[in-house]
Amino acid sequence: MWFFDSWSVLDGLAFASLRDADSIKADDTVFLSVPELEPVPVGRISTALRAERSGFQDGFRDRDGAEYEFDSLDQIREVIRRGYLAGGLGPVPTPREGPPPSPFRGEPETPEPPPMPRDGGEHYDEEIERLSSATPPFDLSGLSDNKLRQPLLEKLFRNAQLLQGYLRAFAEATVFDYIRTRRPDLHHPHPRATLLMWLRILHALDLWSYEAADRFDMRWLYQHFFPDYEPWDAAYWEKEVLFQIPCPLREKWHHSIRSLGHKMFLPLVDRSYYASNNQIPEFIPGLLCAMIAVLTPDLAVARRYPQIDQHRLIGRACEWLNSQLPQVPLPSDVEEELSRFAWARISLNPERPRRSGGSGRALAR
Amino acid sequence: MSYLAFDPGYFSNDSWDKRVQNWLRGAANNPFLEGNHRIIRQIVSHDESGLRMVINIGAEALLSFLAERHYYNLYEEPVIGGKRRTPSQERIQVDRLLGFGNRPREYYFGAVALGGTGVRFYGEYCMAIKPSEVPDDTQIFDRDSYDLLLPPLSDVPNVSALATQLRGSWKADVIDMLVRKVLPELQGANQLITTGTVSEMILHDQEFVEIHKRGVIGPRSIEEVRQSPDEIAIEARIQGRANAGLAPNAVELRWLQQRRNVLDALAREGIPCRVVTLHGRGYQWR
Repeated sequence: MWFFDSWSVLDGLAFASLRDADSIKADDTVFLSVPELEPVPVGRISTALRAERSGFQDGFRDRDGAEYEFDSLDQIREVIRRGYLAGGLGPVPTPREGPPPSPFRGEPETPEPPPMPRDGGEHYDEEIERLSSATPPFDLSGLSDNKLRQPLLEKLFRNAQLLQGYLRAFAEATVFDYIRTRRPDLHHPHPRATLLMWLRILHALDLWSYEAADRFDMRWLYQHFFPDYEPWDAAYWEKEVLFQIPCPLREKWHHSIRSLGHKMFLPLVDRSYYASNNQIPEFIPGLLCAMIAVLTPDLAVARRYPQIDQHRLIGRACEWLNSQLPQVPLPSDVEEELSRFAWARISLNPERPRRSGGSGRALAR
Repeated sequence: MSYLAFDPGYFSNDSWDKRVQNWLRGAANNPFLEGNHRIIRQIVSHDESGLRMVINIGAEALLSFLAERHYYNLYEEPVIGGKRRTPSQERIQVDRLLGFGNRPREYYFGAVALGGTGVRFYGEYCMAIKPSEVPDDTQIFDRDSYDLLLPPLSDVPNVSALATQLRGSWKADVIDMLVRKVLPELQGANQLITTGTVSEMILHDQEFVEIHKRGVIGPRSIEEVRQSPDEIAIEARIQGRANAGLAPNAVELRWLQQRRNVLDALAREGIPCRVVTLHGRGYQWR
């Protein structure tokens, strides 16, 4: 059987050996690392054991200290992959007190902040209320099941028109929440560039427009910040922006979810995620992130064919999700470990304020 | 193989300096060997570009180190899952053989390197420690100390005595230890070697001289952080593929983001971050 010898969970590095439990007599030892996770033969287990002197944890054990065992390297690879993604659910370590700032980097003056948009989660909830009357019931719990997943995603793709309103509402909510979060320093180059990048991406997905800005009384966004901005000229998007955009929160979602990246990773780590988050509004954040992952200049929505182009993108995004959601069957206790770990990582983030003194722990997380 | 077959000139109680002299006396008369011996000593002794203690570290661990201002290389609590019922016997044995006494937590493991990007198994970022931060009496060991747990070394009746023979100290022994390891491999050479070759011979994959620094390592202890061109190439390939219509997977998205976070954090700290080749400290013509 395969066992973890040493594992740097948050960095996606691990040594694994074909051996007996709690033995260092290995028939084979390999090293796997992100992003490729291809096994590299190591030749001797001492290299793996010494990794514990470099911050790797000592194997992978259950609560009683017994080593988890795996039938194949595929399972080992899947555990490393999901552990690494779970690492992305926690906060990025940042110094409490960094070095003194450069005297040349101070801002000359602080302008008046832009108007405060409405709360993104509230907007999304209201739009869900409006859209739900026209949406037939969809049970998405099958997304947690390897056999049911693909047919379900195909069905969603065929019914993409049902998703578009939700996608648009959620995308609008992200713009509101980004501005709400960064409003005091939106005149700084980095937050401004991030907002510009985000609007470019949403334009390319046809989920935000000048008209939307008008509708929400946010024309200032273009007038103040981007007077020469032509979003359809964009030929390159930095997709890591997903980790900088706050995730609009429904009242019942876990309030330590901070970025869209968090909401994207949760179902990729926790196989049971869609068992309790089985409605379209809960599926939309992951779908939006997947659309961004697959977005290329060729796939950007053109003004002439908005419906067709967006439908095509939803198909590619469903295909991406199908390949990224948990695939390899793992022992049930390992699945539970990964699920527990994912939510423990999320809980490390500072909780975001609630809109109306909600009850705390979320049913749908 | 019996331990009796071990080279008595190498596995010896003599000082490392004496082991080198003894070996040279028995070596074939080859003028290139003498020249190469001189070159190796000259290269590794150079103050600015000479030997360094290096520690490899992953992106998240590096960010944590910079945030917490303290390098932790040994954790009792696993990040995920449960703990061993009893402490690792392997770790206890290695601590004992290396003579750490009852303070193993005060020792930080690194490798001795001349340029290059360290032991990349342990992380894609290679932190070079400032020479001034490594006390002269810092212990070194001629190989991965965990090799003591495996045959043939573990078959020796008195592993503890053998481990003592393989130890040395940074100031007094590192050059002789490296010369004694490297020179026999050049016995048949018919040319003078270069810095790149020496660098490669000093640290190659998992083959390295281990160094056990006692005392805290903080961000101010770091001279520079080195990266291999391999990771830069992977990064460029993921981005190039994404622009060509091949979507990055979720792991690649997180990996790219972490690399960006590391660059930002190093810039904030004012720690130089360089891309170096495996064989040299940087440009070969420097």
